Parts: sequence; structure tokens; C-alpha cells
Amino acid sequence: MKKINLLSLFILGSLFLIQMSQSSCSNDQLPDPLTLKNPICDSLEVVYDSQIKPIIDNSCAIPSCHGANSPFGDMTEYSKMSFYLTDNFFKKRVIDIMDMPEGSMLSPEEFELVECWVANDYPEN
Amino acid sequence: MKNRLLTIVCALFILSSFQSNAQDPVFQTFKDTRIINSHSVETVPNRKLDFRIGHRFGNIKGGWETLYGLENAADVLFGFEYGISDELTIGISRTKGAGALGALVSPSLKYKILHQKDDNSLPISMTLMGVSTISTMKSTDGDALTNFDKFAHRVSYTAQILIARKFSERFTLQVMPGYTHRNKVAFNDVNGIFSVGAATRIQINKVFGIIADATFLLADRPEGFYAPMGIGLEIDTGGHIFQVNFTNATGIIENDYIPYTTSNWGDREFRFGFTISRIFNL
Repeated sequence: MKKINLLSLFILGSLFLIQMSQSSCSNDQLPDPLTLKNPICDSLEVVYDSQIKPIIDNSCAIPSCHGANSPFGDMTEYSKMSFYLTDNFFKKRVIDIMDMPEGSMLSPEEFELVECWVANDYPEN
Repeated sequence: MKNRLLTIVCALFILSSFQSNAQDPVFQTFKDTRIINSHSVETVPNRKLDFRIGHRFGNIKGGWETLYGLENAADVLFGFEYGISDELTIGISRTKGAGALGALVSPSLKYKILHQKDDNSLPISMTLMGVSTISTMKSTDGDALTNFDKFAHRVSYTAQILIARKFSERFTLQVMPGYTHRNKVAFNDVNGIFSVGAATRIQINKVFGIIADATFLLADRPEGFYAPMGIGLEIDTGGHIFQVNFTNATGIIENDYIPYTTSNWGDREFRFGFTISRIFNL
């Protein structure tokens, strides 16, 4: 009885190992998202004070979301946004995953402005 | 690498054949083949089928709005495990998937190499566990982990060595070193993750036991990933093993909860979960 078990295990184990080595073992990674900068951003100068603040005030810093003193985070002023900017949280949610702003979408023009503002390292003015 | 693996596997088979049959093996190091998230050293007995349903709810942090997470399902598991012999268990499960990939199908293999003996001639039990997970979801476009440009990108593997000792009827301890490999990962993440876990069972009476486990990752990973840890109450009703637990991990399968636990106990990001399993004679 024990011999049969050992044999069946050996066969199953070998098949398992063969399957593993043959079919699929790769070490792939997604490319660096920073290198995928939209080329238009090199020529487009976008700053917070004049172009980004209106977009954020309209889509993000609204009372139910990231308005003043919001538990989810206050995005009413540039100085209050540093938390989201320094660790790329803003970039991750708005540009990469695109699940923010929640419940609405930035227009293509707005998205491009935000994308270039992020790519050029969030200039204030 | 392949040759080394085969040599180790062969050596372990030979080791297991040296077990003396003269002494009684210890009964129920754990009552179930799983602890909270991790596998235990237990295998399904010969010719028995274990049917299992597992559930992880949403974050308790959601508060009253989501009934403390009960209105969301972070992950759901339906699985079968069959005992080809007392030592060898083969399994298959389907989970929703709580990490980067979804619709996960996970075939698994478990072999009990060493079984602790009552007279302590063998002081520990040791089981090898291997599970591969295939994401069967539709491939997406763009630069995402869900863009499966190769079939291999759907697949991930975990192998663990589970080592446990039943100290008394009331107390068991287990450690599990392991390795998880994902064929495609995000930028700055690593494909291979070594881990070491620990688990325990503290039996209160014949029916109730307290179980807990934790898996610590030994890899240089980007920010935002935490060690999956859980604690729970195990209820033995005779025919069923029922478990209610709290864990920060959202995924149920190793290839999900080991690399993709982004919830932190420290930030009160944990959830309620349960597992129910029943053994059928086939």
C-alpha cells in the first residue's frame, strides 16, 4: 500500500514539477510608468495657480469629497495637497488607475492638463 | 534549479519512507486543513472529499454605511480537496480574487512527509504544500497586470513547507517557510517572494478552539503591502468545521493574500470572515 502511494506521489510530483518548468515561469515586470510621459508635456507649461486649481475645485475639492476639512483629505489649497503629491497618491488614482475623481470624469482637455502638471512635478506657479 | 528541486523532492520522499509504523501517529494536530489564511499540516484522510466555502467581507472601517463590511464581499472561495491517500491530498478551488487578478482557479497538492508520533519518537509533523493559481479573467488592454500578453502572466505559484508540533490536546504550533512566484508584477515589485509564517491552535474545549496565523514577507517590496495576519474561533460540530475570523488579508488563496495584502491592522483595516468545510466519504 505504501509503495503504491510513494509511486503515485512521485509521478504526480514529477508531473507538477514538469508542468511548472515547461509552461510558465517568467520574471516580467510592467514598464516604468514615468517613462510613459505624454510627449506634449514637454512643451505645455501647466501650473497649479492658474490651470489646475480650477479643475481640482470643480472635480475634487467639493463638499462631499475633498472639500475643506474633509475626512477624506482637504484639497482646497496647494499647501494642503502635499500629502497626495509627495508619495504619488494623486498620480496613482487620477492618472494611472483613473478611479478618481469618483463618480465623474475629467474631460480630455482637463486630463491632459493634469497629466502634464504631474509629469512636470506639480509646479505651483 | 530544476535538478536541485528534483533532488530535494526525492530526498524528502526517501525521508518519509523511514517513518516507523510501530508507534501511533498523533491525532489532529489541527482540526482542519486550513488555519485562518494558511494551510495546516493536516491532509484530507484517504478517500474523503473536503468541500469548503470561504468568505471575506469588506473592511470594518466602512462603518454603519456598509454594516461594518458585511455588505461587501472581498473574496469568496469554493473548493474541493480529495485524499488520494492519508498523506496525499489533491485540491482545486475557485476564488473571486481580491488582489490584482480575479476569477482565480487554484489546483493544489499537499503531501504529509512526517507525522508526529504519540511517543515523541518523531516530534513534529511536516507537510509539503504546492498551489498554482491561474487567473481566468478576460485580458485587458494597456499597461496593467491584467493584460495577459503571455499565458504565463495569468499564473502564479506558492510552495510551502509546513512544520507543526502538537504540544498537548490544547496547544499546537506551526511554522511555514515558503516561496511565492508571480510571473508578472508591477514596476518596482519583485517576482519572487520568500515568506515565513507562524500559526497556532489553542483548544478551549471539545468544540471551540482559538486559531491564529501570520505570514511575514521577506522581500524588498514597494510601499503599501502588509503581512497577512488573522485570528479566529474554530467550531467543531462533528460533521462540519466552521470558522469565524478577523483578518487584514482580503484574498483567501496563498497566491492572492501573500503578495496582495494592502490592508493594515494598524489602520483598523481588517474584516470579518468565515469558512465552513465538510468531509464527505467517497
